[in-house]
Amino acid sequence: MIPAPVAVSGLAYEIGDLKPLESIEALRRSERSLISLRDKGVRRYAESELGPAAMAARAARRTLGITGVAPRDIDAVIYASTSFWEKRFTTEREISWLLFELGLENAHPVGVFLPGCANASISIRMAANLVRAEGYRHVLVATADKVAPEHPEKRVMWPDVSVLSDSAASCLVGAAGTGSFDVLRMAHRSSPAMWDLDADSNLAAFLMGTVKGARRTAHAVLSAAEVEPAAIRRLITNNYNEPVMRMMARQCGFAEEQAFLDNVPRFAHGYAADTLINLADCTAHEPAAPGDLYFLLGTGHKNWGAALLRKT
Amino acid sequence: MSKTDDPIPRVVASLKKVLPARFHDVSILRETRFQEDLSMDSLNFLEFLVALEEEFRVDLTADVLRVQSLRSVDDVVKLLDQLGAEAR
Repeated sequence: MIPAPVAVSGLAYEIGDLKPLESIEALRRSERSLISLRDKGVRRYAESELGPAAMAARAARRTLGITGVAPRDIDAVIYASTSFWEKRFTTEREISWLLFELGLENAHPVGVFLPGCANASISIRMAANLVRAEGYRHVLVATADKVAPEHPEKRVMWPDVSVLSDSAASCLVGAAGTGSFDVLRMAHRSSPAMWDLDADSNLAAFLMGTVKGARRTAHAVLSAAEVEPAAIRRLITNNYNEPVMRMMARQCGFAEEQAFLDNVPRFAHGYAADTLINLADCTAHEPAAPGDLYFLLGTGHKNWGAALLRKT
Repeated sequence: MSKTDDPIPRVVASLKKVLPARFHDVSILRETRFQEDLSMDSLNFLEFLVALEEEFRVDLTADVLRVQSLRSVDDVVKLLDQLGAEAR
């Protein structure tokens, strides 16, 4: 059965203050990593005084403004954050505050966190299924994350993968034809066999497992939609670094030139939010025509999410 | 790969596909270590693994790569030997 399309609208985001890489003390002490990150296109990162929910509130307020949907007409909020582990600044109280602050008096929150940096497309999928299965009119998707202020060294994905940026992004999911994009297909894949793998335990197995997971997830979406990679206008991935994003494009069957790389020097890796930020900026800088296809690919820890979007 | 073939030249060729140009004239031997001797980063290493898959027509899944830790050319040769039945 082909799932009914849904619509995504009101892409918006909030990122912290942009700072040069040299602002990170741990990187200043590791010149090799600093040089290597620069070679990979990483120049700046975003640091915010705000907590994740407060950043999400700013993004979501813009989403509501763009779409013109009244807060009382939001039926649910899919709130995605890997920062739930950081109880010092992400608590259930903050999520309630977010709904109150935005005036979402008829919405209930649902939390998403395990897919990590794949949270965005997986949250859209959950929102889409609330629209399809239960007839929800408008579901707000918000993804927000922040580096723990007391652990600034965790901002660097060592040795030279990327630098994390405090950021949030949001959009509305509703019935097809009501937004900027129709979501044609989605997929979520996980690899339980990788449960104990990371870059330290077995780099080869971890890297290949990660690439193959992304490749299979992308293939599942494209083959179900009967769309060739060449038909995609832009591949939108997490904003790790330029060589990795180009490599991910090749491994998933795309041309390197299809990958949107413009934001790498601007703020590097904004957790799960960066896929939505990249989609927003890509379509703002390169105006899309109706029918243009965009492919959203999120890579989390042993989880992958993908969505095929068509500009309306 | 038949068991009588020496895989090392093909492993070295796969390595040289992904290494920066400054390593193209470096002598790569069975005991050469990827990180310590060739300064390979995670991206080089991943591209090397993909090149090995193409060269030897093997499927280097996470499960397969658990069997043998890959730190040197010798480790790769041992892994390919274990996969010999599937490799062509």
